[in-house]
Amino acid sequence: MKVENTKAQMRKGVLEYCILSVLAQGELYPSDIIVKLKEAKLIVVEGTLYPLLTRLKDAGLLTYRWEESRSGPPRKYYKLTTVGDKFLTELDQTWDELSQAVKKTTRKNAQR
Amino acid sequence: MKKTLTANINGTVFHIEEDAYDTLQRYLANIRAQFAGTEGRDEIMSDIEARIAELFNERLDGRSQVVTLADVEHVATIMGQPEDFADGEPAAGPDSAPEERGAPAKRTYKRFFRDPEDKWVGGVLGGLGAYIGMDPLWLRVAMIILVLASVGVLIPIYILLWILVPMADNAPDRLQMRGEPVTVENIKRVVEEGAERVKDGSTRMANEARDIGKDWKRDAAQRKSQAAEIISKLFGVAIIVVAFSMSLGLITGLIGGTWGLWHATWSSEDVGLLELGGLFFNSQQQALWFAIGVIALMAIPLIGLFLAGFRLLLDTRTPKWLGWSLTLLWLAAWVPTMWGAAALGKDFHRENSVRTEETLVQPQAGILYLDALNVAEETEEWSVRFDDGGMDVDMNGLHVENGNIFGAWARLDVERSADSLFHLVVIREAHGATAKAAMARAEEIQYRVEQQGDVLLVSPVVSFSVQDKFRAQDVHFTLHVPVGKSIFLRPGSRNVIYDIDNVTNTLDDDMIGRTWTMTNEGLEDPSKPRPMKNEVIKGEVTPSVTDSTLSKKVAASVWRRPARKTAPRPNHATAAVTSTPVARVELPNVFKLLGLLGRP
Repeated sequence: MKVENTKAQMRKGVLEYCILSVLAQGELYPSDIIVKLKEAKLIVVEGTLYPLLTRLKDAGLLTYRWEESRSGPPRKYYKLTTVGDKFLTELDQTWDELSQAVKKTTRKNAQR
Repeated sequence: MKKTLTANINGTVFHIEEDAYDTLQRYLANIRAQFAGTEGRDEIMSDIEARIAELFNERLDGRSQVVTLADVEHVATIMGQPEDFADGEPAAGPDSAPEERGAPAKRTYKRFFRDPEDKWVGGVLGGLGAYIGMDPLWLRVAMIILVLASVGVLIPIYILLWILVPMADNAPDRLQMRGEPVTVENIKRVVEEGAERVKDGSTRMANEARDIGKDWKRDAAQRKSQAAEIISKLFGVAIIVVAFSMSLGLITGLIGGTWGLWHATWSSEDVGLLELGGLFFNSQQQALWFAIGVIALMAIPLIGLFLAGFRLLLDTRTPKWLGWSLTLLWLAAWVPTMWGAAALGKDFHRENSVRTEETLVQPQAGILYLDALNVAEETEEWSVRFDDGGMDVDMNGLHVENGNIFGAWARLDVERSADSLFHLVVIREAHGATAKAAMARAEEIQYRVEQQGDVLLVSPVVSFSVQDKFRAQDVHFTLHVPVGKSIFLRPGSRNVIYDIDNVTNTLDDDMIGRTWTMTNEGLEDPSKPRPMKNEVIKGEVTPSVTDSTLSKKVAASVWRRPARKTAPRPNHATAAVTSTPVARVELPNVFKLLGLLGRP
């Protein structure tokens, strides 16, 4: 069992949650999302984002519209759908429960 | 100076340097491969391309309008390596395999693709040539030769490769096919695509096979020239193979012939190869020139074949003077050959024979014992190689002594006598330029026959003067045996008898040591009557216990005592003379044939 695999598995679930959370704050196009995720050090390379966005969109959680750009071709702006909104609310709850669970069980917290 | 291409990425036109283009092309293709089987692949790809266009725009802002390799590598750093794109699996972090980060790795990895740009049937050999770094022309030549040499298993292998090996139908694949550096993700890609490929491969192959005709028509001109080249190479190979096997034959023939002749005359001090030639030709010089001429006539075309084969195969040039001088030499070689052959032919023109009869003392008991005169005793210094029991004595025993040629090639046959007496007829044959000359030669032939009581001794050795040369001199003895009388073949007679007819078709070697009685049908061994009509023919005539005491081994030992003048009288044969043969049955030919087949 490799630590990289576990890390990747943990990030994988969290990443979807975070993308939805970022988009809950407003309409964004991929580059904006990347900036935020990079700030949070959730992703290292941008390539990771595109397949995720497409999958979330195909699942009906996201939708996008084309918008003309001043500096180039039109851009895709993503936003949450109502389904996505509900989905996010559920994830928020689950996340709270999980973070509580993590707080209670992890070694460094238990030692306190 | 660098060549630039124009690329349209997501609606924006970029000028891009060639190497950068290739790298980008490969990069995108590899990303695309990551999403093989993923839904929405096209959409993901267009998103990625859009982002790449955006990144280029940012980077080119205020600078030149040309995308360089550095720009592409920069984009790859931001976007990640193809393996990072795997759905939902973010990069494991900068700590994992850092040497694979950044621009395309420097690892060189070749893949076996089928080459659509250099293909005849499925492009398998074209791709294989690129893969192993060899001109596919040679592979095609080898393939055709091997298939023709009935290594037919190559055909199913070819079809299998056609199905399994992907076509390099885009630029990065072609680069990879030629061994451009590519990252490890291709290994993964191969595995992932493998299953898909087997599934689709057959249908795809069928489609491609259907299109071959079209392709061939399209590339007819180019293909024709290549086909001509392949055919010429095949011819070259064939010619060299033929020339090689022929020269092998010529060389072994020369060595074998020389050795054989040397062996035939090995015991003689005064008959070398050249002297032997002198016995055939008018002079030793003529013999030498004839041999040189014949060898040149055979060897020069072989040299020419080799030159032609190599020329076709390797495009080597033969200097003109070489061709000319070879041709002249070859023509010149006819002169001594024809000179010798004509002289020889002239002297062999006519054949003639002399018939004489030896007076025989009729044996008292009605049995004549046949034996051979001991050759070794007669000529002292040499002996005929009879110990192998074989009859191949044509050249064996060849010997020149005191101006005479000796050779052990006289043969004896047995026939029914016209009267009640034994006769020994001697026919001497020879060739000559005229019938008279041939007759004179035949009369010169010396032979030896002796009778000691009831024993007739015939020598296989004949001799004639060296001046007479070899002109197919031969001596045939025919022993005429009256009906009701018998002959007993003593072991030594093995060396003179040849293919004696008898009613049971017994071979000469099996006739030795037995008494044979002349009947109206021919010679018959009364102790071994022929089988009755309905009896099953076993084929082999097995010797009886009595006979086996005189079988080969004993016979050989008897023969090897050179001083023996009279062989011991066999003690079992006399009774057989008076015994009447059992009812004679005409054997159908089929049975005779069966009997022959059954013989060892």
